[in-house]
Amino acid sequence: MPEINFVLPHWFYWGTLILFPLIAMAMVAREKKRTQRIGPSLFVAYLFWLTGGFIGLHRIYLRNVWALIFLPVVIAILYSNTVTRDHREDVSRLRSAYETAQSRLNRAKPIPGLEVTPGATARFAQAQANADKAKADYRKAEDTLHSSDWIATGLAILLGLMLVGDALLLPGLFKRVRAEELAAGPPAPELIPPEVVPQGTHEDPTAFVHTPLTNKLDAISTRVGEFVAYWAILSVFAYYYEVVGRYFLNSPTNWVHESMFLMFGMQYMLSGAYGYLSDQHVRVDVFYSQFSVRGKAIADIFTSIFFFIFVGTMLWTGYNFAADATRGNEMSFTEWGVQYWPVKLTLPIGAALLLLQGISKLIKDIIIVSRTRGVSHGS
Amino acid sequence: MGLEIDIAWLTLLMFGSLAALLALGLPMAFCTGSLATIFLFVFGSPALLNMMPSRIFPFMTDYQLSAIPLFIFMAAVLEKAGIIEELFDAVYKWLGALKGGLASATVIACTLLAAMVGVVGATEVTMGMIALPAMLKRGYDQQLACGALLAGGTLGILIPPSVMAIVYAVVAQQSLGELLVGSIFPGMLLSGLYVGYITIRCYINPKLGPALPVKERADWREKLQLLKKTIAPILLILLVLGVIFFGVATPVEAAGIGTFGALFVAGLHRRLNWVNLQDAAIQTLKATSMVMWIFFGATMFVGFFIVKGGQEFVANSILGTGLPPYGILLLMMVVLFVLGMFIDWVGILLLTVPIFLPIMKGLEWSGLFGLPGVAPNDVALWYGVIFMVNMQMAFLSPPFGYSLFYLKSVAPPEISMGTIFRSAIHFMGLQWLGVGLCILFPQIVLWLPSLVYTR
Repeated sequence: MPEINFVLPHWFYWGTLILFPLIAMAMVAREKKRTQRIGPSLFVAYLFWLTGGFIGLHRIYLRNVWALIFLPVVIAILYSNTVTRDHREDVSRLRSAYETAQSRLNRAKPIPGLEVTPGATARFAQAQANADKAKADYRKAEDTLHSSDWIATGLAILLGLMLVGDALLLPGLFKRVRAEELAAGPPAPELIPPEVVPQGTHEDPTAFVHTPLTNKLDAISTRVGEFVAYWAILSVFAYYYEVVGRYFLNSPTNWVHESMFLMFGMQYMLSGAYGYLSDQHVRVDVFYSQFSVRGKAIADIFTSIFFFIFVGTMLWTGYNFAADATRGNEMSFTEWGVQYWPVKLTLPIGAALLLLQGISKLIKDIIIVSRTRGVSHGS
Repeated sequence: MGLEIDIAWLTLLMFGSLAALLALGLPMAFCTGSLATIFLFVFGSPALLNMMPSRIFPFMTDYQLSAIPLFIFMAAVLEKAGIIEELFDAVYKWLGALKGGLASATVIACTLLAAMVGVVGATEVTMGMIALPAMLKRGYDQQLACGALLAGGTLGILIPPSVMAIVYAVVAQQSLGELLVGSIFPGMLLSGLYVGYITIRCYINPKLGPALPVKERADWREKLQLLKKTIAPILLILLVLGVIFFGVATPVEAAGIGTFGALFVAGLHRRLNWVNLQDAAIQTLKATSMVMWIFFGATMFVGFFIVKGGQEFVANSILGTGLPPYGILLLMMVVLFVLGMFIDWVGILLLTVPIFLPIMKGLEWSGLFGLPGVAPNDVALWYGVIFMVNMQMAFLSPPFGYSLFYLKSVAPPEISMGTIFRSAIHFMGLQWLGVGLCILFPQIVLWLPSLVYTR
């Protein structure tokens, strides 16, 4: 099996993190315009061909029985790989045995000019026989290795040809399957569960207050939140690549794990404001839910002091923390050695976003309190 | 400013102000974070505040924690894929002839789903939408029907993959693989207790859960055809659990390939499109952001408390009661139960585990009633799983139980909140029984990990 020693370039990592969400946003917008979304998609079929084609995922996706022939081939390849590896070990073991025998033979060789004793002649004959046998064993093992190597290569070429052939056949297959599925009538309607709201949330009195300024602040949080949400999709393919690469191509990477946990780390930080806006940060609402709307707003205004202390401190200390890293153009201490400062920079950025969101919420709370002035407590 | 204060007063002040702020409705993450900042400033020094980013940053670069968004994403994708409806359909047609079969089917379908998802929400809500009307239509007792849903849906956070196990593993510095493997049997134990309880009650009083009328039962041919629908879910379970169990890949990678499998299942159901992906990704982001920000806040809060000697203070107070080790454990379980009535599990875990676990490790666990005890280096694993079983109750205990409100949000209007509260009580009893069994027979927790991970 070929080994792939692909190391993700840093510029490509950062580029993907920025471009992929933009592409995804465009795709979502395009799809929302379309009325009909049912049925298979050729893009998805090719996606599974690329990622899982070697076990026939693209054909399973199109509900094609021929998918089943991929699995035996892959198993045969994995098996022949282990066999080849064993044979290779045999060869190297036998080669060193042969070399040892050869050097023993050299030592046992009678020295010219010296009288040859019968014992020495016997030893020499023995060493000669040993060396010949080791040589024969070694040659035989080498032949076995060649033939098993040849089988493994042949199987790999077969799988490659099957994949290339399918890449060409896929559009035709797809057309046929789609026509069949459309003829079978629309699928069962999708059961759409209501959005699960964690308990202790959705008590926020400010959810229905809108002003031009707060709308702008909220839009920033929403945009950033949606942007980083798409990163989760990238991680699925990255980890999949790592595991498949390790087991099928014998090529573990040194960048998948690091790139992914750093990506998620940035995601946690940048999503705080969005979580706060969509009221996802759970609270204990035993008492809070009993308050009137005005009461809640007053409680919010009071507790916002604490909120701002936390977020303000985080912004300030986070800025110092990130500034140190940025000045030194800090890199990670791993083999991959990616830039660390952008990751650290998300700390003050996340805090700043949260600060803006807190300001937006404070404005809304103040509006509620001033609007409901005079209304009795508990209404 | 560096004020000095007696640790007893500090404890009271910290947790008192935390309770007050929580009651005023400030989200948990910001309560703990802001109080930590204030206490650091008042009782520490302003320079200490600069520690804040260096306490948060390790969590941003933690390898194990990336399993949280991945497992939540997997659950969200599966929910979009429509796997939940299919699974329930198959299981309930198989069990239709049993008394209480629908309720048992609910628990079993939930157990299978729990082996694919690591959270509670999606399973509980979707199952509530399908199974509850099905049970009520066939004259099931409201309380039994709701109870089965509540208890079954909550298994999602116990049976691996489980987000709670990931958080515990990171906080307690415990191997995640061991925790996941260790919680398999306790999860199946609880599931078995629920099914047994439902079946026994329905056989004593068939009115609670009548069997399906004969003409509605599926015949063998239909049953075999239904099996086809369970192939994809079962393969997915085998994929994720198998990968973790045999150590083929790390739990994080298992989450990655599991999610890839989930995407494929969604594709098979023709529901893999950008709009669904966006929904799933945003749902994941919201849930993850909640957990992680509590992480940031609560670890600073507890970190400060421990630095000031709070852990020793709590340990000395508890040990000072003169209770035997198992009495102390029982006390902890009661404390966790009471906290579970008000706070959600993330908060409880982050606040209590750093304080309780060292106490647990410092005691000797020689076994009760002559039964085998727990070796010192197994205590963290054992306590982790007991903790997770205990937290099942936090989802069910009023007034603040996630599952109760999830169910209420999808239940038909004739089911009152009171009915849902009452229905939870019996099943909480079973959960206490489960906690007790795991304490009495630690092998339920420890045996499987000892097979997989030789130490």
